[in-house]
Amino acid sequence: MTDPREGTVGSLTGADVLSPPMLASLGRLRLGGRGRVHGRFTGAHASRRYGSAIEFAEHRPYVPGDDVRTLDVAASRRSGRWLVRLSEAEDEAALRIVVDTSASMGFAGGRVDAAGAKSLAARRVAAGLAAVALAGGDRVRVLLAGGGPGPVDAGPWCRGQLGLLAVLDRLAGAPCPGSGDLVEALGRAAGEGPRGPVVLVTDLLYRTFPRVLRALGAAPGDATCLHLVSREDLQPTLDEDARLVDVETLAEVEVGAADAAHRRYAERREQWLDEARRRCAAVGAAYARHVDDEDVAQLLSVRLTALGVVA
Amino acid sequence: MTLLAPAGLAALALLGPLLLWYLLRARRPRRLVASTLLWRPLDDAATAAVPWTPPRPDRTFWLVAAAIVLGSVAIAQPALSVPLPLGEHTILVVDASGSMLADEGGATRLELARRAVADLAGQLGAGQRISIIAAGHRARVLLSASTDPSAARRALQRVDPTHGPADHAGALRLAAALAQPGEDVLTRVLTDGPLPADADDLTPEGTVVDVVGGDRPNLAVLRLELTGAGSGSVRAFVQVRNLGPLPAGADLELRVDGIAGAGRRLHLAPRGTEEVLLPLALDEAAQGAVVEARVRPVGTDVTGAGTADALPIDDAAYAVVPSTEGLRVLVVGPPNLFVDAALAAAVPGVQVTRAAAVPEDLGEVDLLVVDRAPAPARLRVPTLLVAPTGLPDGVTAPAPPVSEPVITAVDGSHPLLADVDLSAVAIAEAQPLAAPSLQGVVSGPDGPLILAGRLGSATVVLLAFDLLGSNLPLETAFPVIVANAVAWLAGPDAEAAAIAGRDVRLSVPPGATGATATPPDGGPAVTLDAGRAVLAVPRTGVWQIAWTVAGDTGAAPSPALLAVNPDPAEADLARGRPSSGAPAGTPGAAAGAEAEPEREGRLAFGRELLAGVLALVALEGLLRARDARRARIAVAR
Repeated sequence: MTDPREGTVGSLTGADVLSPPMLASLGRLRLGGRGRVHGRFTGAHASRRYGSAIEFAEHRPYVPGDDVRTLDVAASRRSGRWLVRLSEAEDEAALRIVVDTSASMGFAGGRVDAAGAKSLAARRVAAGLAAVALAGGDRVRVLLAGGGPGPVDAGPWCRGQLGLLAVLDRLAGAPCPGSGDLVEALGRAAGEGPRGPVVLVTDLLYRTFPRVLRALGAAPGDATCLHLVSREDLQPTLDEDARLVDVETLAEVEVGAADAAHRRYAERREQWLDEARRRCAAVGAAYARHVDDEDVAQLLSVRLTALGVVA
Repeated sequence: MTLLAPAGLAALALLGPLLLWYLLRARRPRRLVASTLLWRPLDDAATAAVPWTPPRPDRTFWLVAAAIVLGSVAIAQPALSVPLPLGEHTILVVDASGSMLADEGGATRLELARRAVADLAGQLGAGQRISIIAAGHRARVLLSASTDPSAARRALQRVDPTHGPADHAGALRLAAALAQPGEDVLTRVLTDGPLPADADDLTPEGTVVDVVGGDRPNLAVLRLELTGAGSGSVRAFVQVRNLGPLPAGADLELRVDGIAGAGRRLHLAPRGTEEVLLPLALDEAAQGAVVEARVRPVGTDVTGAGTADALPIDDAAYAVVPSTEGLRVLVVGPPNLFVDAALAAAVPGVQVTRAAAVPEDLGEVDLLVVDRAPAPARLRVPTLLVAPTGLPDGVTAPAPPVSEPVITAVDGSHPLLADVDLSAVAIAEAQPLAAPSLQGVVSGPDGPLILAGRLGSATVVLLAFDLLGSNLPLETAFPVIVANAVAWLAGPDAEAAAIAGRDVRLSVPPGATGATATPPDGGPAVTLDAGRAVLAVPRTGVWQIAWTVAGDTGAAPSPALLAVNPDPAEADLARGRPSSGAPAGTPGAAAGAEAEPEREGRLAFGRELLAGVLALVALEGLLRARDARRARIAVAR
């Protein structure tokens, strides 16, 4: 008999992760941004540097060496000194998506499966975000971390349509549970490549989630936490007293099926959700909760748009 | 095994709640969930809905049960009865006699005793003290009531073995003095032989004798004596003994001041003794020389192994050749050129004075020569009488002088006639004499011509004829016979050698106010006062005695040599000894025989059991950690 704790290598396809209808529905969306980016290539996002765009940015005093064509004669006459006209620059955004591939994400039906509800939802959210970014000319890097021993699956930077295919292949074939620590993955996401937004997709069902959120908040770009929960996480079914075994740690907890236990669980769940929200706010990260049976497209087009992650 | 606190077993009652816990514990179904993060505060190990369910002992149950059992036994303080090597205050008496220097297969008996004491010191527990007494020539306290094992080891290095017997009696007196009233004192004597009778009476009750070493073969020179053989030569009397159970071969060698003088190969029966008489031809310069008799094992025994000799200190004995230096001779009678010349030529260092008559005070005279003069009635010093005109008591002239007596009998074995040829001697006239206490050494038909023996307290040589009426002074034999007479009469016999370990009373020469004795090994010199010139000689060999005088009262007397030989009692390495570990006074038993120790103690091991309890708890923690690690690995896989 197969050990229910054993995970599976993803048997999904790219179409399972991101269906053509959904891809089509995301066509009008672009990656948003709450701050300026600093990309290597020209893009559609306000850059932290000045450039040669038409949009006026500001004036500054002329210094020897400046291109005389940038002199703003009218402004210089008004101020009585030579001023140079500065224009905005627009760069591409470098989006990092850190996907939690731990056992709790893939747990469904008494076993860990890459096609489990939360795992699949996380891959779909990540694929949708990647598609939105790539469609806007930005580049994307997907990092997979499952909590197990071993390195983080950092993956390459992807750009364009071919990059989307590569991202979909990686998300479809990623094993569950995977290897690597989320904190390490966030550290690599923040430390490698140009400044850009970071999105963490996780269920936060581990005791070290405050530390993970602190690592997310330490990223230099816009940080977003997509909190994925399942219906079972929110409202577990417990008909009888049981000894619950954590699929990740095998820690055992004896619980009763009395109503009081359900009430206390609900209180504890609300505390947990509230704490996750507060901690994200404390580190300056956007927070969005998504239940695994909800529509991913709706998440991207409505709720993330409201947060400014997607425009 | 006994339990010092049996009530501690009541803690076994804790097994009841443990078993009850497993009887009443709910058997809930296991259910795998994504995470127990939100469930953990709700952990509620409720009792089973149906009590008294059959217990399902798991690993934790057995570990906890074992910990309870071990802990209960530990609280009950189990203890084992063990031999008790040490008491509250242990006094160790270490035999430092000569026999303790015997080799026991690479280490001496003394070294074995040191190791045994070091082992005992290493077992010192809290509140236990140890004292060490060395029973050497004089008993000495090396360590007094110390709790420090390292101090005991340092003290052992100060054990200075003597070549003589051990002062067991003194050591046991010191042991009795070290014991404090009311304390538990254990006295252990580490020795290789039985305690002497004088020590038995002093042995504290409960004293244990630890025997060191076993039966070992040994060759020993038990005796060396030098006797005059005439003509300045001496004969060495040597007694060699094989103290082993097998026949042994040995080479005996005599050396005079380090130069080989004589030797002989000996074949000694098991525990047999050979007595050897070897002549030593010594010249004038050999006076005061040191004669060393040394024996070396040779050949193999019946087993094919080399002849063994376990104790080296008794392989040599020493003697000092007597010296005539400073011999004071008083010649009484008319001048006699022949006598004067013979004394001067034949006796080196002689001091000759002349007198017309025998004085009353002969205190400064070593030898009296009465030549054609009346002899005193009572002789008090060694005397050479040559045709005395007056005979001493004990000598009579039964007949008138005879003319031209011929020599008809010569006792060639007498030292007086050693190397003396009287075949050409002619005598004009001789007085027949009768002296029952004297022996006729040279005789004629009418009676003895030369007599020798003892008259009263003095040795006497009596010539019954006038030298001037004989051709003896013209013969080669004359200086020889004079030298023999002087040596036989007043020659200083080799003093009997001292025995190591005993006190020696020195003969202080006139004028000396003190002495400085230097041991054979050149160790620290011993200073003595002339009023109490008793020297302790713990080492064998030749001691040098240097005399001192007060201020500038005159030249110091010549230094003297003192030969010190091993104690024959220390040579027997197979003597009876008590069983090791037996109380003192136990009759001797075979070496190595096992004996029951007379003291027992309790070795409590409750702490070890408590350590076992902690180990079980730690084991449970480790196993749980291992399970968790395996789980994480399994999840990761």
